[in-house]
Amino acid sequence: MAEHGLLQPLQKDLIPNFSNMDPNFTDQVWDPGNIYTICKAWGTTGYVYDTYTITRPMASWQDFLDAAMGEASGRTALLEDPWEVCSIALGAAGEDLNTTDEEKLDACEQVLLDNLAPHVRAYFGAASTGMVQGGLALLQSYNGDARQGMLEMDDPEQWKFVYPTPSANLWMDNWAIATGAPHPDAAHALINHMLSPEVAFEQMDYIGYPVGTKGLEERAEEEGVELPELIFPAQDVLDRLTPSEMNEAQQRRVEIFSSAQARSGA
Amino acid sequence: MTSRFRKFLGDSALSFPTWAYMLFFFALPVALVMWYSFGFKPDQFTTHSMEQLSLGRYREVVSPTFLSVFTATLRISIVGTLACLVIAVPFAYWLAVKVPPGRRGLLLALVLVPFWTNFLVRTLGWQIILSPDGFVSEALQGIGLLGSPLDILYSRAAVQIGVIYNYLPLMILPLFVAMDSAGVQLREASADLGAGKWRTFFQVTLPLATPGVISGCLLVFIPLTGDYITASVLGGANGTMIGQLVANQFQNAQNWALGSAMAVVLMLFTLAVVVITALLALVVKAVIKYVGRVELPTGQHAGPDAGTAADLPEGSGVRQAEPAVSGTTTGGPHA
Amino acid sequence: MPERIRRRSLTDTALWVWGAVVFVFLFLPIAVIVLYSFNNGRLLASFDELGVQAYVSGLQNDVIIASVMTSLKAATGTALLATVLGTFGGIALARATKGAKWPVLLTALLALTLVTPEVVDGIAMLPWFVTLGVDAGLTPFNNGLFRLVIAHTAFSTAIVTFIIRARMAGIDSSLEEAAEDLGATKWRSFRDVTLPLAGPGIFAGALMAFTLSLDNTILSSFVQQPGYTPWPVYIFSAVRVALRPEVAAISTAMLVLTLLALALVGLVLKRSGNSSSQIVKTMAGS
Repeated sequence: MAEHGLLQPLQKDLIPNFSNMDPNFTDQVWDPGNIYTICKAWGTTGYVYDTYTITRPMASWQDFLDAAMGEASGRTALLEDPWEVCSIALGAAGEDLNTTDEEKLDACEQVLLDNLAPHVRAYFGAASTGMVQGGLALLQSYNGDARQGMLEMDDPEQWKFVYPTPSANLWMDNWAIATGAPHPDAAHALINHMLSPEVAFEQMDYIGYPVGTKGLEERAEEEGVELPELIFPAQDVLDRLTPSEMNEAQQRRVEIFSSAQARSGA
Repeated sequence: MTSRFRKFLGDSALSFPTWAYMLFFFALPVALVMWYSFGFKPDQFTTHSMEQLSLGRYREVVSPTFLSVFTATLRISIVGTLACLVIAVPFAYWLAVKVPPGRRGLLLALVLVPFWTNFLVRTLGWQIILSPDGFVSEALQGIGLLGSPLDILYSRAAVQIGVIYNYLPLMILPLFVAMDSAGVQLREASADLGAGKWRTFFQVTLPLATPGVISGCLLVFIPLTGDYITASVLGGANGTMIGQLVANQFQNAQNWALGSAMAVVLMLFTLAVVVITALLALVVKAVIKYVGRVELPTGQHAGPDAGTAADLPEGSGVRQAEPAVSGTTTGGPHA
Repeated sequence: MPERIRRRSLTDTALWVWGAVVFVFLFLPIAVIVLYSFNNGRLLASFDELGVQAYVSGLQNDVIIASVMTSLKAATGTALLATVLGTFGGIALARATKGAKWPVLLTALLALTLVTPEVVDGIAMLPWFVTLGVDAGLTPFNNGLFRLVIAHTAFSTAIVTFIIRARMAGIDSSLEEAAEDLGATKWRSFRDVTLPLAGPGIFAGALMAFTLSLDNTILSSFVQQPGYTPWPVYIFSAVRVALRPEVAAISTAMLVLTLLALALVGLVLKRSGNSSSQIVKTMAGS
């Protein structure tokens, strides 16, 4: 978007709280030096499963595929997102999740369509609702949504979340100011406000995802926030994540995704 | 005198704003979509390019994925339309004939209440009702009617329930209006002439309600075929409808050329259904005129009434028979 | 003979039961939503405890309130614009000279808008607005509210036109002619005779346009602009994230307000001498 002149550069002097940001979430490939954007919330993708249905240990995307085709057949849900769905098969095969290699994407398509899709019951934007409604045993999910769902459960032992190996999406929602926005000062002030430690904590508590500022984890611990491990993945998890890119293979991914959806519904 | 006045209002001048608006904000953009459908997507940052015109996108449309979703959509919309008809005919008959006239207004208003609740919210209501862990499921298990949790949500059955629910009022309204317009007198006349209740219903009331049946079916079928929201909320993987594929091309893939081609196919298909229905209606009308003729004092037959997609601007017999009710021009929401 | 009477009453009973069943079906999900709006939990679908927390936080949620306001504004704008266009179109069609070609064409064009799937409208308008707003520099087309009104009007106009045409077709043109004969100018006879005659149709059309706009999701999701997300689109995006009871609470509040407004309208119309059945039929566009 910045390339197309749709965003205006941020004036950092108007956002003194930028200094609160955790370096893990600044200076990303798409915006080196945070000229246009600042992380608003971040999270990762994994899956959550019903431990009464799936009793074996689960750790990787391959485990996800096996369980979906086994115990959780017909009770599996995927995310309603082409990139995320493709990342299951690419992850299981140990490929780069952002790959544009046609052969690898063909292989990914085959696994998704022929193996996974026939066992899938639903595609969700958020897994929490699916968990609460019942009837499902394995759901691809963002970490914060899985936490929301688990917080609603009467039996906390029932569900378990996995940060799957070898890799998964590290996504960030960003603040940015559109070119020609009527009140840039107010916008800067809002961003600054959102990055203050107090507000950042409140935000995190409400949306269930961290804001990308420093010290949130410690604060969460002090305040006794439930299931903190689902808000803050460990550093070794963070290190293996792959931020998703919108690349030239997006069209192919949408195609794979549409075919998978059609196959699941057939 | 009259001709002067008619010349003023009968002149098309008064309709110019409507013309201009519809051409500029409907015909032109739709034409643009048709134009885009002959283009292609050159690279990831560009939605379409018209440098090379081809029918290539149409060849891409006819893929196994598209066809299987298309068939599924068609099945859902045909079953949905028929189910609405079967539910609505006795209901509308009851409302128009059995309910005391003083109560009809209130009851008809109640039929409309779901319209005034956002249709997504209503669909979410069904999501809660059909949940395996929801209260309905638990209640049914509690009284022993179900051995295991309700297993309807995210299945084709759920989609079917959802669309029938969401479009039922659009079927009830035109049917009610048509049956109401058919007139008590006609039925009484028929009964006086010795026809039984069922015979009166099938030979008088229902034929006179044909325009209502047709407009109802179209009002349900058309938006239902294009709807993908109800299905995506209730159907899960079984709820992929054709509209979703079109939307995906625009919102995810940013491929306007392919999305446009899909949209054109969808639109032409809908149009074809309307034309076929209109032709069918003419045939049915002719047959009814021929076979179902009941000797009635008035001798009026309902023509296709003004207002719905299928018909022409001219008026109808119903209106002449009963000037107080102006026919079945139901412009139902396009939810 | 006695047998026959019994059979008849059996059919009648079946019809009354059917009527009741259909009403239960129509109101079941609405009742569920109203009930779940009193859920104090975090997620709509999981009932935690009874309370009005959702109403409190819903009314304090700026994003929700802004989207409801956007919807109301867009619906009002649509009702006004579509009613003006539909009134002109409907009266012109109803009073068209017999045998003229343009009414057929106009009817066909309007009917075409009704048979066009909404998603097609959406994808047609989005590029068109971009063309007009960005390429042609007509800045109003970059305004979210303006876009919503224009788009919603495009599909509401047909319905309003048909409602008003039906109303006018049911009324003899002799009154207007009489006014003319008595020396009224064309404009005065239009204003003082034709418009009041079309009144109920205009009212019904405006109400229909308002309702359609308020409920529109698919088309709006295409043409909306950041900062002008209408309420249904907000709900649809919330479905994709996680539904909170606030959605049910605000919907319930809106339903209650709508019903009150409609009851008021019904009362006013009743005072002006229309039967209730006639009023509803007018609203239904019959």
